[in-house]
Amino acid sequence: MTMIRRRPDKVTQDLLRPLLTTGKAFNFIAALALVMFSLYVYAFYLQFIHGHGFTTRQSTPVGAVWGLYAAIIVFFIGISHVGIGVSAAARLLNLEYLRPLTRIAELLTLFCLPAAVLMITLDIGRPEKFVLNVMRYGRITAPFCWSATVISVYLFASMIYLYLSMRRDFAVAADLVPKWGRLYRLLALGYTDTKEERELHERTLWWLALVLIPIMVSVHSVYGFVFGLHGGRPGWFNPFMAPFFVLGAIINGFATLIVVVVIIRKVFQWEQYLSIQTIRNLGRFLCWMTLLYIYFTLAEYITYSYTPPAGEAYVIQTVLVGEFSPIFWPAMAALIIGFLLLLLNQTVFHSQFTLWITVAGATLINVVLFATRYLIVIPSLLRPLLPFPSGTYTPTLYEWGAFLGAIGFVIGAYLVFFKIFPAVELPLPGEVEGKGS
Amino acid sequence: MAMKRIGRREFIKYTGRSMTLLLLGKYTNFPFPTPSTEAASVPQVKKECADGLATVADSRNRFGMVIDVGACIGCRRCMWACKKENNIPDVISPAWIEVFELPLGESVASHPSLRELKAGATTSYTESPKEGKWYLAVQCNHCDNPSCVKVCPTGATYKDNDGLVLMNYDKCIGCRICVVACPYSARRFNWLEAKLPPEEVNPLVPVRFLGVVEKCTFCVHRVRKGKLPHCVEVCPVRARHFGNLKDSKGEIGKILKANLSFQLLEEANTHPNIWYITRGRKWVKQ
Repeated sequence: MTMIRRRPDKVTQDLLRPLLTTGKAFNFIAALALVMFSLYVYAFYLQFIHGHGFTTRQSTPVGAVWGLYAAIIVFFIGISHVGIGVSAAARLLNLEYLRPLTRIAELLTLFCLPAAVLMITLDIGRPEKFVLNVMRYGRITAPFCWSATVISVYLFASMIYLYLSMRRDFAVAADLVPKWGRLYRLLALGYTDTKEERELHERTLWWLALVLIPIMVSVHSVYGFVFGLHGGRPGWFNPFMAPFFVLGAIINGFATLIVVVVIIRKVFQWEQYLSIQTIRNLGRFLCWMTLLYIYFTLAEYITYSYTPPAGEAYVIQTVLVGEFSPIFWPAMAALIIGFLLLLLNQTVFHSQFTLWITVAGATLINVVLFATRYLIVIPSLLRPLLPFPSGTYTPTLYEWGAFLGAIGFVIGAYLVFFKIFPAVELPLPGEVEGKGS
Repeated sequence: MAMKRIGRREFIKYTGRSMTLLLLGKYTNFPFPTPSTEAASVPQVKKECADGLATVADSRNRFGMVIDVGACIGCRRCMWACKKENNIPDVISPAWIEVFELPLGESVASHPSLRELKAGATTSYTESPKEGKWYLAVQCNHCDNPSCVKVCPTGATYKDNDGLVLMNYDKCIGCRICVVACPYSARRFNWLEAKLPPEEVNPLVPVRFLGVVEKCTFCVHRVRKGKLPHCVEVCPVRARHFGNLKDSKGEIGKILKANLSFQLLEEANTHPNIWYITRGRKWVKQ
């Protein structure tokens, strides 16, 4: 099993560095992630023992039966949306410059989907039963059954995709990282990096990418349907919901991807491999998608606020001028500011591109997307159609803690992965000189 | 390499064959046929009945209710009787039945919650009816086109043969999408542990556990034994009527023929099985 017949080049050595050395910062961030995740565990424990009413301040009398948890679930599903999508699109459209960050993007899918499932487990009334009961008694008419199906298919397909795209790296790195050599050899499953094998892999991955794109769209469409199918819920019943959610997921995912890539670039000093041009291209795409999102939002709110029926009118009132206006207006302002930052930085003043402005814009858009998730879930639930008094809802610290916990899970998963596996696809022998910009 | 490719093809072939066999096995009881547990005959015995007594859903019945808002004096006896009969703990608030006190000429007004009623009882039997108010009792409508049943991921809530929309608490995973889907806000989630003194528990009705959804069952444990729902039984002014809609000579059929009636949120297209009539405001002092 001697597959490396050449000396490792500088790039490969550089990319494998995190596997060989561990700094103080790693331990610190790992501890932080663990502390964050323990918040989730604590909230879960309390809820399991005392009931959801203990951690969630239920609104009287009917009110918001779904709260912050639901918003967090949609948020994570949205982020997970883009990872494999970027990778698959890069493969299908032959976008070579995206190659170095495809794995980081794929991991976003692979870690955010389980984070969303963690939040679903927390939100569900009986976590001990939910997987088993949905599998045993699953009913095809239920949006949650669709979501269980598409999420598991997406997760499974993403794992296969990631594994196949990593197999070459295992073969190459087996001799270079003695610590994990045995594991890599096992995972490489006899792959020896010949030309034929490489072509076969490429072709398999191309087909897998083709299949993954529609699955990816379906995942978030289903989450749109979870909300959009209820005729009895003002503010939700809307055929627009599925495409709107897909678009929201795209910009949410791209914004997160930009932030994650820039952090990794900084931490590992990989400025050369994760080039500024790549991030710029991501930013440009995010910029135009954000414009589309602004347009969708505008169309939605104009429709809702023109001559709405009573129920819709009530919901839109609470959002535009009522109790949710302190969230809505700053969010809209931030969305436009984020868009302008990206626009000016990426296109108008493109000769003086500043990385941190793009990152700031992306962060802002992420926060806005979270706020809009919250605004989709809560206001519609607070007003029953019968003359029940309308409820109120304020998230508790437990709920926010659980959110931090899920973020901690994603951070921790990234850390563990980077300590065991190469984070960036190792370059092919011939293309080392062409790397970087 | 050529050998390898054949291996892959064969792998796919064998996997495909075994998957087909598996699917065949699932849907045709192949290769181990077992007698079907779901007998098609009527009346059908459902072990999953909400009362835990394996009551019989007789498809010759279709239960419905008529509430006379003209007669209702807002005493809330139905509410309290239901709470006692169905083991509804205090943490479920509002309980399965809610009675709105509404001003004449207007449709919506705030009203005291169950907890406040317990504490001060501002609209108790002695104090209602109030001048210039009318009373609207709402509960699960046992719809013919129930949106809650359609969205339930596990089939924990189901439409039975006699028209009742019931819950199987064992199947319920507490996702609350039925609560969201119900336009009548008739469903309640068990946010907190139910604390019921053991001597007050009605043994015919299961006490619901943490994290499941519950709602009015039209007193399934009573009506399938030929009794009336408890809320109908206790109404002091006979504002509630209950019966079999398929029986054209029954009480319900007669009332609906003789009176103009309306249903709640008809635009929701749920085809509810509770009708409201107003046979004159017997008590309202104008």
